[in-house]
Amino acid sequence: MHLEMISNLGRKKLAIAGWCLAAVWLVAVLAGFAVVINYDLQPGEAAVAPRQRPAGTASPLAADRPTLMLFAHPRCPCTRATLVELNHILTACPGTADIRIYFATPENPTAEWTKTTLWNDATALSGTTAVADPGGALARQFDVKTSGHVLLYSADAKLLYSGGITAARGEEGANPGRSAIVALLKGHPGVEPESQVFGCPLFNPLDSCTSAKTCPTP
Amino acid sequence: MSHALILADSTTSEAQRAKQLFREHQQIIYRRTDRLFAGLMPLQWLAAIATAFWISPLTWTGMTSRTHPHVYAALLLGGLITTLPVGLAIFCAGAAVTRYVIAVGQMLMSALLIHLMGGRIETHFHVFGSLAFMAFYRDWRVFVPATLVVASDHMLRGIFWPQSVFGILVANPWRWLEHAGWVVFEDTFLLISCAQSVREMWDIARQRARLEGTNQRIEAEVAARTAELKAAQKQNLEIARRAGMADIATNVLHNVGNILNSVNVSVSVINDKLRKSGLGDLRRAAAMLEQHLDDPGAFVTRDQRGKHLPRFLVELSSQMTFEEDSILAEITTLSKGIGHIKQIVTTQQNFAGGAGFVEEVSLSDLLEDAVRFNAGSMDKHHIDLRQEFAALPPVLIDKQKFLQIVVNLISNAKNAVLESQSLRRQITVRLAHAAENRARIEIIDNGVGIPAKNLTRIFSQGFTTRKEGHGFGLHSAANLATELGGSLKVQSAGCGQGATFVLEIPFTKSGTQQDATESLPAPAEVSLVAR
Repeated sequence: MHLEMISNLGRKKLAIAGWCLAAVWLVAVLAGFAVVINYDLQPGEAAVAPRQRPAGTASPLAADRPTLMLFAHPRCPCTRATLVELNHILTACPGTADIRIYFATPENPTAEWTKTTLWNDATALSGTTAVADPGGALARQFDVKTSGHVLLYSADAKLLYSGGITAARGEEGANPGRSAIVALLKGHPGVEPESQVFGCPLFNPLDSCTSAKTCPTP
Repeated sequence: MSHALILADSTTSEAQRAKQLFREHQQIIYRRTDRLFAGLMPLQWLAAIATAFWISPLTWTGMTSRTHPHVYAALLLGGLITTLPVGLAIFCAGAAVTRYVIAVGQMLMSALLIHLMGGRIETHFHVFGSLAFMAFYRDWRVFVPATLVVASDHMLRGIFWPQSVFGILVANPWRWLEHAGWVVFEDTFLLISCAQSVREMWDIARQRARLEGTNQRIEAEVAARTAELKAAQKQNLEIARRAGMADIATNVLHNVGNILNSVNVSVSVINDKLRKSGLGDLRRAAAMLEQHLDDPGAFVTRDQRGKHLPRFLVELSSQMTFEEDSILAEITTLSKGIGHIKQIVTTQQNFAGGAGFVEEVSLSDLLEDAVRFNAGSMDKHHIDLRQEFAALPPVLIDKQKFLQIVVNLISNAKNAVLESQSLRRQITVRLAHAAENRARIEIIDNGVGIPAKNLTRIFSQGFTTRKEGHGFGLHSAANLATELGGSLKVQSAGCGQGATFVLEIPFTKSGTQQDATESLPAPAEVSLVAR
């Protein structure tokens, strides 16, 4: 009887210790999630795209319809979600825009740098054109700094939208950027023309690598 | 205690036992499911790490790469999520806190996987799969923390970072309820399933408790009946033993009676011979001579009667000599009869009161004694009793029990041959060495035999085919054979074919004597073999 009481007391203490441990554990896990979510919700550096598309750019506009320019890092994992969202846009508004995807690469890129999974995914999207942007020259021209940045210019070269089409880094799902572009392509103006971009920075100020010779093999 | 009270007590006890069995079963299921998750959760962790390495191994800034934070998240956060539930499942399996922590941990792992997979809709199925796994606990309470985690996650993120969970910057503040509602939708089915499982577990526990109760009652009943049977068997053994003793006493009295007949005849013969002897003639001749004592010579030579007296005396002497021989012969017979009676009584005295004691004896001597008990009867009925004894060393045995068996079997064989129509009445008593430390005694008769239907019940108590039989003799013999650690079998080809009783007994050779109670072997079977 006495032993049973001691045993019960021990079990009760163990249970209390278990619950306390569980509470501490839960707080630690939630803190971990907060850190991860915070990282995912950190937008890329803000960019000021030209309101009027500069003349003489390497990539001329389509004359009959808007042109959607997506700037991407060929190896940024977050941009995979951007391509998924772009596919949603293509599905929602087929053929309504001339879509070009510019992959920022070293100045003299090797095939290893350009022919990535993302490149293959991009070329697999019907109605899109994947183009290498050696040294990120075009991106710099449009002041684009983050992978996943989308610029939508009208046929008369006016900027309709500038920003990302994902809700967070690498997060698929409905988001304000996608909604705005779909609305614009469907001819519904009055949407928010800007949005935050979530993705890898296209340029590194400390990066000495500008050509294939000096860049490490990915 | 009244029957109603016993019944009520039994029902309460069964209900308590059912509760105990249910709790035990529940604990087994809890522990088993804990172990299942202890195996599953590390695999999920590895899957999360693999997913992070596959989807986002590196993050890039320009042309410079570094390990993606999702890899660290999978490694560290996934590890944190997994460690406590698995630790509890290993060290506190079956405890309530373990399964609740596992439920919460599983939902958190869902959240992490969804996050690492970039919010893919398909990954949300992990939530529903996990809920289905949790149903293995058959405990509806685990769905509460799991559902609360999902609902809280959607609610908090819906309020603070709506785009991270609903993909829009401004979400309806109640939209989290829609997501939680789908979880509750699945919970409903799982709860119904759990409730059904728990009901079935209760049914099983109640049935098992009832079965155990019934078994216990049966076992108690069997124990009581066994005790009663043992007591009855003991009583029967005692009765049989007494009956066996009575058999021997009857045999002794019968043989003594037979001998007394011949003693009586001898006495009558002696009496007749003495009454009819020439002693009277001698007395008369002596009286005649007494009258002529003054001149006996003149009486013998001149008297007419005196002249015949010498011849008469010669003839009388001759007759009396014959009579003396005849009487002496009868006295010898009488003396033998009395000696036989004395021997029978002495033998009986030797065996009386010796039960339960093993002593060194010769089996052939014992068999000769047994034959001697019946010798008078055998002679009277002209039964050819043959003895074929193999040479066996002296053995340690309870001779009274052994003798009771053999006397009974010889008596039984005698009755069988007397009932037979055969003119050649024969009984053979055979002693042989059966196996190591086992002796085989066969009592073979050419009597009436035993029909097959009686072979199976010949050793049953009370079974007899004789009018004057009491049905204890063979039953007693079989019991005694068992007590000696041996067996008693009967073989018979049927009516008129005679019978053979085979007694096999183990024995301890002289010189290896041990305590009688210790030496009692396990009871042997009494078997019947049709020849």
